[in-house]
Amino acid sequence: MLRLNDGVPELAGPCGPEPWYLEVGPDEDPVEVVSRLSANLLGPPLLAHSTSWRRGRGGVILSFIVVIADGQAPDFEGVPIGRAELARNSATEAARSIAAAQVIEHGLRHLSWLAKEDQVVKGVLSDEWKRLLEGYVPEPFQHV
Amino acid sequence: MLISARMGESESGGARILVVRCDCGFEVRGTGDEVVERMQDHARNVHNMTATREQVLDRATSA
Repeated sequence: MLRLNDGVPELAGPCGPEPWYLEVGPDEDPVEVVSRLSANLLGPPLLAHSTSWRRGRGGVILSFIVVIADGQAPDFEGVPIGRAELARNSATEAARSIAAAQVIEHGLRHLSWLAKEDQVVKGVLSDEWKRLLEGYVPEPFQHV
Repeated sequence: MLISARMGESESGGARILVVRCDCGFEVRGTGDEVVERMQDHARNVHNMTATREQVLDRATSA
């Protein structure tokens, strides 16, 4: 759950700086679940997009970037996001360990790519977001 | 189970007070019925999951 605070991206969600895990039932759409819970708890998001997947917690974890408006959900404290090196391995094997910061870094690189390639994403992101994302090397969806 | 509930309990004035903490940091404190209701609400509203009464009460540790 991302928002800008004076031009600085920050994490803001029900679990604070920790990853916010949602369970998706076998008949549920992950995007619908993420969008619904985000809207219920923090107000309607500007954008909800999946950015990577990995194995974990006995299943598959699908990571999402959810962008909310600047100043939205002020009751949820924000934690500034720093830069991180991506977790990598070989061409056919995922990284052996992945930190939350690396998932976020990859998510923002993916968002940077979307901000250039996707007309819908271009339309909802502010100019400030687009300027910030210029600093991230664009990357498509990836198995991390 | 997505939420790992850890529980501690103490007795005060004859009423057993329980503490349940979600992995995300959310914590509730109260009687058995109170913590079950509040943790089930939290599981559903924040994590989109169903936590049974037994799951919530199952992870008791001594206070």
